[in-house]
Amino acid sequence: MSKWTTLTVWTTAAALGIGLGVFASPELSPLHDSEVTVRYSAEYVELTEQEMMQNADVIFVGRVRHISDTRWNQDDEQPWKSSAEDNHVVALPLHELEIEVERKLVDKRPPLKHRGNVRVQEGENTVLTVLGNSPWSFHDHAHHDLVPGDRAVLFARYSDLAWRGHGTKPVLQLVGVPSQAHFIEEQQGLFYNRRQPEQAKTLDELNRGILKSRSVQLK
Amino acid sequence: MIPSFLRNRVVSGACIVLVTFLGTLGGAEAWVSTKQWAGTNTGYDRSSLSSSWQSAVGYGAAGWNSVSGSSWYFWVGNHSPNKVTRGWVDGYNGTLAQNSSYVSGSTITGFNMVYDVSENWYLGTGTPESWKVDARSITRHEFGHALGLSHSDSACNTNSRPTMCSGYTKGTTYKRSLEGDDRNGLISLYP
Repeated sequence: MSKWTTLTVWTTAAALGIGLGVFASPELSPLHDSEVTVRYSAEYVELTEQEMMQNADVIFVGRVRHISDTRWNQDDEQPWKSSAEDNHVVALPLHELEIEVERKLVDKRPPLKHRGNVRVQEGENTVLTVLGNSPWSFHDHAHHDLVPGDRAVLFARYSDLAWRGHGTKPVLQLVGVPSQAHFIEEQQGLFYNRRQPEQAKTLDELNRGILKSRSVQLK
Repeated sequence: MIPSFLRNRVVSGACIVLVTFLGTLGGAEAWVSTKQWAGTNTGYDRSSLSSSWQSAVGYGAAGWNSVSGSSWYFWVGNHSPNKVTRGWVDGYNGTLAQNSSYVSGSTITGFNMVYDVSENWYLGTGTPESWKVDARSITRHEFGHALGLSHSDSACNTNSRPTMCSGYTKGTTYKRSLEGDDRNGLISLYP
């Protein structure tokens, strides 16, 4: 191979390298509407897997039946903006995941007055509230990896969400960083978590880990 | 005089190094943004906050003002529509802070940043206790959102923890300092 041939080959490869590098960089998404939209970002407490197992109020196996459009934290669910009159209640976009509860592994229910209508019962549907825009209604970064049809082990907490007109409203939320608070069943009965996708677990292994974590916590 | 076969290998070797280097430059970047401001600066109103919170918020914003190669600048304006406040979000041990950016097309036109009153905040400049949330770490992260950066989770591992990684481990301060990925994102958006 002559030096010019070699040079040509490698210069082309270099140009391709630059090109691929550019295209591998994050996209600047195209204009998709002309209205004002809200791009929501949140920072959460990051928990280790063991902390997540210890801190969840309720851990259950369920199947995602429905993911709502974006709603807002007031009774009519319409968008609003925080103002001084709202007495520090924060305007929040959110979406709800309707989950059919198959099996409860843990349920440390708070007193009734702190959980309102939130109920996690085997054989019934329950609603998980996730802050941020719905994956259906707005191109936003992923708050979780769940899609309808997914069977997953979910780690949740009973919480009081800021709610316009009422101060707060009891809801069920994923613990810690939402995208880390679920193990999705992928294949052969193995459940995966985004944090350690290479370490799939069976439901029995997950259950043993939960029991071990929570018994350590009790000592 | 270098023999031709050796010269070819030297040229080939140099090209391999060049390609590897250039490929790494592109592939290593993990910062994400889909929206940005039309200009290179914006103000924010922190006047509803206590002086210690104002200090923490000022620290968070200022870190993005001093990145070499970027013209971006946050400034304090008590009549700015971009409010930085504290309020109830979802109770203890949940959301620490949230930023809502108002977007028209691909342009950010404003933001509203809230720090959850129900968390255990550390407002000092030293190291927080293991059960506390370092306000300076979280404010720096949130101002990254306010200027248009999303979470850069593909860069987050045990060896690399950019400020724009999602999730915060209590008692830590690593998010106070911007990493290469954070700076590259800012420079690309606002050279």
